[in-house]
Amino acid sequence: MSYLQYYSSYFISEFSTYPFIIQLTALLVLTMLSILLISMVRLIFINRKIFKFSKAKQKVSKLLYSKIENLIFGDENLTAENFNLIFAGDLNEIKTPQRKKALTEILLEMLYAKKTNKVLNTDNYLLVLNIFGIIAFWEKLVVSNNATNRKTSMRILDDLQIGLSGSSIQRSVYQKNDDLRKLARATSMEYDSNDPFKFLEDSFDSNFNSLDEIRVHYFLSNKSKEEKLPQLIRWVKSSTNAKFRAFIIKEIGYFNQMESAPLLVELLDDEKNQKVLCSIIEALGKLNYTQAEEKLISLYEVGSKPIQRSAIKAFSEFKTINSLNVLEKSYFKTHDNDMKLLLAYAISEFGISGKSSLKKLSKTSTDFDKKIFDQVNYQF
Amino acid sequence: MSYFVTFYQYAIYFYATAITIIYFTLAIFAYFNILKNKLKYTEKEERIFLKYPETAPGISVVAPAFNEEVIIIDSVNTLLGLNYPNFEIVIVNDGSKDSTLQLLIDNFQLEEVPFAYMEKVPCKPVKRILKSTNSEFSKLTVVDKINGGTKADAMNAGVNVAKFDYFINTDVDCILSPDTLSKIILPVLDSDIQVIGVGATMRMANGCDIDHGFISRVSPPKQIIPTFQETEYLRSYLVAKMGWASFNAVPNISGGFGLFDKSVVIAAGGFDSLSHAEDMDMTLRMIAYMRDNDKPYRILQIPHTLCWTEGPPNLKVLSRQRTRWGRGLMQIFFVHHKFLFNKKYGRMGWVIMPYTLFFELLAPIIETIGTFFTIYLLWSGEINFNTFWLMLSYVYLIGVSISILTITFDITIKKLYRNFREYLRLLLFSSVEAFFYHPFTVFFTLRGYFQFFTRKEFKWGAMTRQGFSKKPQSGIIVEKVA
Repeated sequence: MSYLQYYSSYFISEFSTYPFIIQLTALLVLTMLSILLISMVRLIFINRKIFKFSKAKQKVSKLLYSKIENLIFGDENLTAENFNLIFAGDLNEIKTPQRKKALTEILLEMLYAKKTNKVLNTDNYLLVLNIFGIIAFWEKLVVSNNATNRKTSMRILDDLQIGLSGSSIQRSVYQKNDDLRKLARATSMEYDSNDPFKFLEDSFDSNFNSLDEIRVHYFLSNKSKEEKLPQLIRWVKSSTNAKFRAFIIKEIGYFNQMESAPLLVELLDDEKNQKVLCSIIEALGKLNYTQAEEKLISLYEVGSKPIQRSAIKAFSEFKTINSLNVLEKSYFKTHDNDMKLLLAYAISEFGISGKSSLKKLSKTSTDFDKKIFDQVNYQF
Repeated sequence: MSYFVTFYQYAIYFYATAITIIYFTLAIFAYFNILKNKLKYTEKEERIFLKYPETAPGISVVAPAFNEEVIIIDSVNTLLGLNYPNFEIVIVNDGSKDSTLQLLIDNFQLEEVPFAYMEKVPCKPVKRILKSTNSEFSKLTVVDKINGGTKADAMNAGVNVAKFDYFINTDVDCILSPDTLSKIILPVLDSDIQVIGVGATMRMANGCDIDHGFISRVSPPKQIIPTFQETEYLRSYLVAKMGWASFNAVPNISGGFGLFDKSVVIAAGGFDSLSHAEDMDMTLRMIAYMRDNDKPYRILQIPHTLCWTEGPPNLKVLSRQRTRWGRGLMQIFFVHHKFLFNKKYGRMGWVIMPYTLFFELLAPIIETIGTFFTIYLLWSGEINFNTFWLMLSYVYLIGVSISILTITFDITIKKLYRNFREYLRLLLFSSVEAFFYHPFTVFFTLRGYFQFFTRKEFKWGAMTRQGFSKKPQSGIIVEKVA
């Protein structure tokens, strides 16, 4: 000990005699050498971890792949007792978290194999998940304190196509972390059988963005296959988030909720937000609600470019003579070539009358207009 | 003289220390940014795009081609195979003198189509637009134009023809990952603020196995120069750009691969055909446009490797590449000097431009002077060997420690190389980069600066392609054309 003290005091006193620059450099060199060393160890450690996992996966795959594949894609429904017998010798092999993760990956690969056209036997599949404790393992992580673990486990359970219980996600749906909170809300909507639409009351999320639109659209599309969707207009009325309202209005058009059309027309009068206005116009077009045609024509005449573009889309859905006349007139009025192209395409949507209208227009048009008509005709 | 010697030694020392501090700070931010991005999205989002194509925003992939007959067919086939439901491929034949266009016409059954061409951004005249008569290739559009001499000019023609709101700027010698489009568009959708550009990691294709136009096995290059460049690219993307992205200060969306908001590119005037660094020039002008119009914006960088490119196989090609980059960098400061230290341009004026000026533009000059200076000191016997080795190891360790950090970041994202030996190969090359590679890049960059001032005329595309296929492309058609 005294030697150590002696030498350390010697080095410290020696070091302190050097100029500041040298001291600083020596410290920086030591820091970088430590980074070098730590990074090297880390690199080896990560590689070892990946290697060990891949070995574990290989082992699990060798042991269980064909057995599980035959069961989850087989026609015969087996009982829990049958499963206990089949996997009697294998259960002890899938005890560690690493093995459970490996088996999860194998199952996901089976489920999402690109060229598979096999039908999943859900009863057997659930029994496989239960017997190896896969669901319990991931559900435990859903309620862990680590946000990354929660996010990963939620995604895995979703990928495994298993319902998540509302209570296990509950902790995450009001999280501060945006990604986790939104993921939890989307997952909750997908699997909650009591009140799946509850987050639509809160405009899904206060930071509602385009990716959330996709999440909600996915949920609504899946839900619409199971049951009739509720009237989405109610969330347009209750929300103050313009982006969310514009999105829900688009969805009204997409899911063809004709009953909401008169209410959408009413909204046209008071709505100030341009994005929402555009959505209303496009939704009315999608719903083919021709009663709103006159109103849309008057809006078109005084509207901004985005409003005009939405109205053009709506007119091409209406396919009425009145709409066609408006489009024809606008074609010659506008000086915007992009708009001309859009109008020409919209006119072409009118079928035979559109085609003859384009023919008529091409007789009194410039070379550029002729190119537009040729382009549109070529696409027919 | 002794006063000057002391001053210069101190200046160099603090310059190196500033680089060290900046790089390690960037590395820390890059690491957390990588972790944040790594788990953000999974294949679920990609599956939603495929299941509900109406949710996938349209993306145009624009790739200019000038005398690319060796690789053009493989390249287009790869692009057509991208796994995304809503995209188009726009190949701009920039007046190729070889059989690039004819190969395209014959292989993809193209014919001239009527097209109301609108020149929203300037470029040399477009002769015709070609589309395929075969519905299998309906996503392909070929723009045949008069040669404009630069990639920027060809890109502008592609932007004029592109029909979607976002476009990818890439080269035909690049191989994209099949999931590129979904990976690059997801962060755009997941942002509250308008995203005007997104970059991703690029690596060398030289050592990789390629099957049906896609990378089937990722390996580091077998040739010497591309191996050095692999680590250099990873450092640039995973440390520098990922770090800068944390501050919304990405200086440059790479010209090899990047996603752009078309409306902003058009509003900013398109790519500058006179620029030798059209990618950085475009990025800066887009930022300037957003700031001039008080529009909030974001430029993102994602850590995933989405693009592989053919690296310079020898010194001759490396010299061409680096000389062009050098010219481009110098040009940036002549054209955009008004942004420098300009309060109006926020981070661009106070972070991006000063950093680029002091640590990128001036670095080769300072390094060269430093080398000559050291030689002079050795000759005059003014070197203090007690501290010389310490200083030398300090400078050497900056590069090596950043390189090893980069390699650990890379394996953290995803282990792309199959063997650990391949990572060790990168490490080995990084440890000798300072002696066998870096001096060449410094020399070529300085030559670029010199060429910029001597105002020689320059053309783009002088990259000798080796091609990705192991077999010759569509042999019968080549013979017919020949």
